[in-house]
Amino acid sequence: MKRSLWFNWFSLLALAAILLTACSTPSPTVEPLPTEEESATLHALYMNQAGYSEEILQEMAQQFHADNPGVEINFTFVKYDELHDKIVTSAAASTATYDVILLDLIWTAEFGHKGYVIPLDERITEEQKADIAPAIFDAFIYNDQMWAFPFLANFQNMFYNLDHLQAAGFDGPPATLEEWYAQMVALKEQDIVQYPYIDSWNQKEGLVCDYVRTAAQFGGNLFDENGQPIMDQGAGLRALQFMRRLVDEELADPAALTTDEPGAMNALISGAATFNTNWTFVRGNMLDPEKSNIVDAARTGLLPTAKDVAAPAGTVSGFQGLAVMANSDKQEVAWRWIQFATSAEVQQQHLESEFPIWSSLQNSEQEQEINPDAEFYATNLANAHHRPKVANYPEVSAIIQEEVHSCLLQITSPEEATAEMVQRIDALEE
Amino acid sequence: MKKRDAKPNATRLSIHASEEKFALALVTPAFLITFLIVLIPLLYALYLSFNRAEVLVVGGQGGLVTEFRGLKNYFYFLSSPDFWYSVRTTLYFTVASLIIELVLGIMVALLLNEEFWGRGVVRTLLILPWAVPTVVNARMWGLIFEPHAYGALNGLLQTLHLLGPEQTINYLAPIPLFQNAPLLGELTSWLGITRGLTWIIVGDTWKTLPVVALLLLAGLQAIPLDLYRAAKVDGANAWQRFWLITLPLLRPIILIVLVYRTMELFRVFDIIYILMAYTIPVLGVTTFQQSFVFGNFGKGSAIAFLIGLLVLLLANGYIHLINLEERE
Amino acid sequence: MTPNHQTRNYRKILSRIGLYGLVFLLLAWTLGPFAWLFITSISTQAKLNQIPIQWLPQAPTFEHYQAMFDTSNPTGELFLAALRNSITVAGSTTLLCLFFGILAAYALASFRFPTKNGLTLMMLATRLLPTIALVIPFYVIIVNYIDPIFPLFDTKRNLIALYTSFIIGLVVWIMRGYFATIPKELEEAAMMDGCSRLQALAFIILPLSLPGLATTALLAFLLAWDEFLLALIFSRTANAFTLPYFVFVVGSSQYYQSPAAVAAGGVLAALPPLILAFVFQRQLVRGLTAGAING
Repeated sequence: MKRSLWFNWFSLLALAAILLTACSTPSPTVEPLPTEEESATLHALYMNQAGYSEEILQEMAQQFHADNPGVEINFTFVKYDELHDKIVTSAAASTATYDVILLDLIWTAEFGHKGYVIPLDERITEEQKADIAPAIFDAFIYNDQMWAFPFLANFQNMFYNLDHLQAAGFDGPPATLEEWYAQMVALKEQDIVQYPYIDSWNQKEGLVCDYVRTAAQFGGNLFDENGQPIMDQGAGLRALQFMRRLVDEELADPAALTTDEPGAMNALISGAATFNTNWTFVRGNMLDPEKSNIVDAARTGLLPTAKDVAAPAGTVSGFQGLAVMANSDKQEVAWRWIQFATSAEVQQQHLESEFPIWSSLQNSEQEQEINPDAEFYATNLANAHHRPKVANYPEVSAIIQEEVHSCLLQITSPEEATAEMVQRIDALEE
Repeated sequence: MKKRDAKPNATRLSIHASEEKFALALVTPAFLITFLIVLIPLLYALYLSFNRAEVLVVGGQGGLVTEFRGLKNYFYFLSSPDFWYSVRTTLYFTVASLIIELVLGIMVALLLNEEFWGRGVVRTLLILPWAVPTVVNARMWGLIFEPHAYGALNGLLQTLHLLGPEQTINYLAPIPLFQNAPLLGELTSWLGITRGLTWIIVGDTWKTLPVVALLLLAGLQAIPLDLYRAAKVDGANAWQRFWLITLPLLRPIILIVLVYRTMELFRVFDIIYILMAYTIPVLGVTTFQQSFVFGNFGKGSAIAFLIGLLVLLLANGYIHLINLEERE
Repeated sequence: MTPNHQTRNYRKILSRIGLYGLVFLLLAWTLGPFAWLFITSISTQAKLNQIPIQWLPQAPTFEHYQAMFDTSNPTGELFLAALRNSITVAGSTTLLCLFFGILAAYALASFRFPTKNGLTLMMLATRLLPTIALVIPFYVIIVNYIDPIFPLFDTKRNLIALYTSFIIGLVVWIMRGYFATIPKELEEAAMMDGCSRLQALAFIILPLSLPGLATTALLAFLLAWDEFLLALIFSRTANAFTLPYFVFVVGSSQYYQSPAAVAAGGVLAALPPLILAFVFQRQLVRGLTAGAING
């Protein structure tokens, strides 16, 4: 009895084993190359976005493959919201799953601090430095070291509906923040639109961007040079008061509070809103008759600053860099790919899709031709402010998001919200 | 179980000791699958919850670095107003969903118990929402709750003239209900009763209501019709029949639905995370954020255990209820 | 007819109208969201942005469905991979749960042994644990300790193992209930004829509990098909993405939003469970009731 029992068991287990192995084919490719060879598969983590889209990245990878026949690039595309989690996951593995990652500038400090990515200072040439605006470079520096190579120069612009403005008796976009406000009031009073302004104020990273941008429009920052929060005074406070005022006076669409960037764009291109402050991706969409109802009226402009601010514009940066994981075993190949993907030659092929990081390309005739708004872009870009570079940015950002959101939901006052932010950020452990 | 044990020929099967071993051998794999994969991680999580644990890459090697800090993680949350706000928000989601599901569930079950043309078809259609994957359900309601006039629900309410042509509702805004009413507003914001969460309850209920209704319907159909006839003869009206016959006889099944749904509702994560990311801090979402966004696996484990503790408390309460029921 | 009769008839008609009114409301509530999901999936962005709302698309487009099955398109590639993964993961999970679950359920239903009740309860208790409580240790253990030796992260077998451990308790619970309803005499008779116990299980008991078996399989499959949190954390690439994960990411990113693509992905991901539920409606309800009630 006993033997037959165990025999039975054995056959059952064998069957189960067959089932399991049958199910799990094809098994994942295990990298057989711990030492760097000419042939390798690079794993790159990237995000779905317009501009440098999945198609374009694949195209770049094919070109790279043609030059480096041994190297295959295997992309993973994820939502922005998951990018950070996936990078941490990759860092937790003894050998990284991704060799190259897309680094949003807000992670510079965290990833540098925790050693997730390697410093690139020694690899960057003076020539390269000379052709990239300092505002862009600076975004990826933490502790005097450079942690990612700029890849994509994203930043916010003003997008507006000229028909609405003309109907309200204005010739063009506002030159100052005060004028912007006056235009919104006029648009509302004359009932040209119900809500003149739409933005992406749902409780996500985008809200921090909009807050930093508004503070930039008031000529200041939320944090001082030492990384200490100062939003309870000066530009930080004025910015939140301004945003709140737009909500209170119903100049901003209440839907903004649950809308993200593409949702805000939809409100602009549906014709429901006159102004949208948003990232560069809007331009292509608002001019696309397949998507937009306002193709002829859609315009790009400067983000106006307050009267007492000298800068001609104020915006927030959303730069993305490419970085090499510190636990990758293919760092040399990874760097070669980064050099290729960010090179002026490659970016020149895709001017239609994305604003280049290289100054020489930004000012090239080709770019002016493709993007008649390049001038506005360049001015906004030169006046971009960064979000704080602190190692515990995710927690800091979560606090700012919560407090700004609860202020815009009319639960707390701007004074209370900013004071809370300073206090909670100071109280964070380390 | 009890019934079968009373049968003499059933017990005869378990005389031999070898049979016992055989039975154990049959149970072992299922048991191991459950416990290797569940129990060991649980113990490990307990260990993590007493540590600071974060991901670092040192010398080209990635990994988790831990540092013992005793009960600090637990104290951190127990003394944090945010944690208690999360508890209240989660409780609101759980309790409000339960009440709606049960009340509407009983009503739908009573309706489906009536004779009408096409009843079979309606019953079949009713199960469909339950089959929709949670993620699809969340994204579908995200489309319906689109805050502009081109959103489905806003469009519907405007078409029905329940909203003016310029009026729209921003369904998912996490604004406390009755925000401007003096005392009530403070209560709702303390409890985390927000408009956004309330509409999410609507979306979640759409998916779960059918199962609850169909379970209750099965219970209704088991009630002998004679009871109703007898009550009618005694002069009880429909309302009395419901309170005196239907409800008491449905009680066991209501209790089971209550237990099963509480456990599911209390650990809600999917629909809230998908629709609102971290805006509505129910416990599941807070845990996820602590661990996978902030990278604090120690703190994340501590909250996870606190959730487990709360679930145990709830379960304990229900077991109490069921025991009372059986004693009656 | 007496006036009394007439009012009674009148009231009866009224109550019928009321009844059908309620039924109509119930149907509208149940089917309305489906309708909007489908309409969205065949609309263009410009139509979806139309104010006032346009209920029916003038020029329906199926491009979003076509994109899903077009391997030259990244969305299509991702969708097809996710579909394959979902079928493999949910299918294998179901088979494993049934295989081991049936053995355990049979033992628990047919024998008496000391740890029996404790085991049953503990298996069921795993269903009560919040998944999120287990995700953190799973994650840390798998990433740090198991993966370097035996690749598990971002694999289907990892998801299969995790799903199996979560679902098997339910399978044992329901199957135990079914087995308990089968008369012992049949089994004993088979054994008199020289069948071993496992043979009796395979040839006598299982065929008799086939309806229950189908229901349980269906439930296990649907649970595995639906799972999101574990897939979110433990999959990264087309290697292991499942459909819930796909629907979570499809049609939206920070700079891009396509409600129509979301809807098309949603429709396709929901279709298999919807068809199964539609066809096996009766069995499902019976299974759910059994799962809730027996024991």
